[in-house]
Amino acid sequence: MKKKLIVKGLAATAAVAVGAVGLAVPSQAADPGVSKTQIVIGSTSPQTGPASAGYLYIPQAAQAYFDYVNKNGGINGRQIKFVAKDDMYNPATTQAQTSTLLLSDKIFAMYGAFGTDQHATVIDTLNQRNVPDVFINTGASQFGNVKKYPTTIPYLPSYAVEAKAMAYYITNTPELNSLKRCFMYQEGDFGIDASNGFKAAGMDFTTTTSFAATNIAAGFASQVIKMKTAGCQLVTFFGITQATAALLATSAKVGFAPTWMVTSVGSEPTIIKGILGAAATKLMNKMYTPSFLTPITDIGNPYVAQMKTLVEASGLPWNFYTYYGVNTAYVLAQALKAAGPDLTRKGLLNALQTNSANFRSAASVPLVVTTTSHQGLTGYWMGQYDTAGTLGRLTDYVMLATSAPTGGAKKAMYKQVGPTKKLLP
Amino acid sequence: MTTFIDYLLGGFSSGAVIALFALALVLVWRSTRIVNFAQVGQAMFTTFIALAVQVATGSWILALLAGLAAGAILGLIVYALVLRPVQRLDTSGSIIATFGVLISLQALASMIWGGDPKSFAPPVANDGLEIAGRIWPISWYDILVYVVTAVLVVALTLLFTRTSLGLSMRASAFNPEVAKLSGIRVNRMLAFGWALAGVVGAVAGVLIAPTASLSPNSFDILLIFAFTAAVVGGLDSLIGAVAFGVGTGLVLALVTGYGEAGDAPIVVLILLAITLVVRPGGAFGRGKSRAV
Repeated sequence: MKKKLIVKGLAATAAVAVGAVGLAVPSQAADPGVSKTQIVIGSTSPQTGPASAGYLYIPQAAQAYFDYVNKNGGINGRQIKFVAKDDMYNPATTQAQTSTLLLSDKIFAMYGAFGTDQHATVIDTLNQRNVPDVFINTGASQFGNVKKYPTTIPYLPSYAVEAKAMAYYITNTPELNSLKRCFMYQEGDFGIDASNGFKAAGMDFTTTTSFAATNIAAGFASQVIKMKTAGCQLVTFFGITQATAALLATSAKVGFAPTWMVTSVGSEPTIIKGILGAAATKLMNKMYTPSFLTPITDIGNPYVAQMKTLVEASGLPWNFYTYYGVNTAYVLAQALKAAGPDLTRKGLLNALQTNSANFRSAASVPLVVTTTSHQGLTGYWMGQYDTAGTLGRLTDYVMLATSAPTGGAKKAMYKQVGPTKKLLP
Repeated sequence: MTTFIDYLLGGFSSGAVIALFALALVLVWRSTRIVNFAQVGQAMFTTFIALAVQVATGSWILALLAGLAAGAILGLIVYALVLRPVQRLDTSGSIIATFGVLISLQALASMIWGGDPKSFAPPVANDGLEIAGRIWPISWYDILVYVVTAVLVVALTLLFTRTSLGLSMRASAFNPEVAKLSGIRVNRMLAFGWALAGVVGAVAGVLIAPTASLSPNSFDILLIFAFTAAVVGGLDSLIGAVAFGVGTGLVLALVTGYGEAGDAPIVVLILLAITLVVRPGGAFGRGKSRAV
């Protein structure tokens, strides 16, 4: 028995050695998922299930943009085939769907993989297989570790950066800074990351409470009572959109009306209106939300104008998620174009790491993707909802930060460069 | 002290909803000896139908009636198309079949109504009542839910214990062979049991939708809590299901309030495990008088 084990061990070592040699030699064969005429891009996100509200539009909008690019000749002569899988926000399903994408659909790259706990289950596999893992839809800063995850490229600013931006704005706005503040977060890395950001910025809270994403239907009565009893006047909230809606409804019921400051990924007004009906606009009035894109209502902006036309032409509603989906698809298309006609996985990663500063997008803050840093977008401006349920931009400046465990956000100005012709890469 | 009462009232509201679902589970168990995991799916589906009626007519009562009718019909359909053919195999086969029904209903609802959560307007205000100068986390709508739950428990208990129909239903579920020999139309009784449970599930769905929101999966988590309550209550006991449904809501509320929200479901499951060890028949269940 012992001997057998040793033999097995030797065989395994040999296999690893062969594998290592195989990696060291530059592969002559083309990477999977790319041919002369086609590039296969995969994605996982909740398209059904309790967490799909709103987010289900992201891959649909990306598909609409890829269709548009394909109609206009594709990228370097190749058509994009986009395979978006539904994982219902369930990490076990994410894993199964990602395997299908890798082994059966033979994707060239992952794009827009959604969710923190979900993506954590597949990120090692993707990196071990050298699959570009582009513009993940999670702001968890752990994924921006370039040494650990060389093929993973974030786009969203991290939740830590968002918390730092909130802390900067609160501290520098006297009427907010004088309020008794509390913090409520979604359990898991989403909330932990935000907590770390507040801690790094030196922001403390009177009361902190949390909730589980799976448990929204059971209601937030206890959390709200806890914050109401503690006398909270300003509540910073990090959770998915459906949780924000439940929080606003429960608070209204018990007469708890603090100043709200809600994460950018959890405050889409059309979704909250769908859940809360007519009361939504009133409940969302004066709610603060940071954002990193040009305001969606700024129709005069060339990005917003063209993306809105594209989204509506494909029969989708114009909201933050369709806007965001088209925007990241647009940046991915530019990266694929920049990788040149001899498209390889390594080439795509190089293009991203050397050109990211030149990519055009509707973002209002710089994108940092280099060989030494995979931070993604680097900051936020602060916005506030009005009585019509529209997010208006409050700051002409932006607040930039990194996900580092110490240090807060800094004030900066950012000048956006206009889009490419016809929004094509 | 007021905070403690606030937590209790908040827990009571979510507990009542859990109790309603637990009631539906017990009902199917009592009348067919099957745990129906499709219960939340059926409730979700019939609530969507009720919502469509409410949107079209603006009437909550009409919506409720449509939901009830749909609940009965869907219960019958599930029984006739799925459970009756499968029931000849064995109990575990039937239970797995109910999972299949759940997944099918959720997929169908996604196709018809989409994945976005919808709002369901309550018939009376869901604002906390102001008593003695402060707002308490209990609304007229909560009171309506409590009243409906209480009426259902009493009516169903009377049906099962005081009527010959109830006796026939219990006999059909407990020992179909003997029931048949006694002249009871067993299949008809089982079908009636499914329809009745469908109605109770529909009531639960229509009542909970205004306090949460309605989407194909929005009741999923409640199945877990309702199942816990039903099992702890003894599966056979309507009162037990309701008592432990409300109890589960209270435990969730208190643990969340005084401890960490993440610990609340774990505490509920630990209580389930302890009950099953100490009283395998459930707290309100009648123990087996004789093991054969």
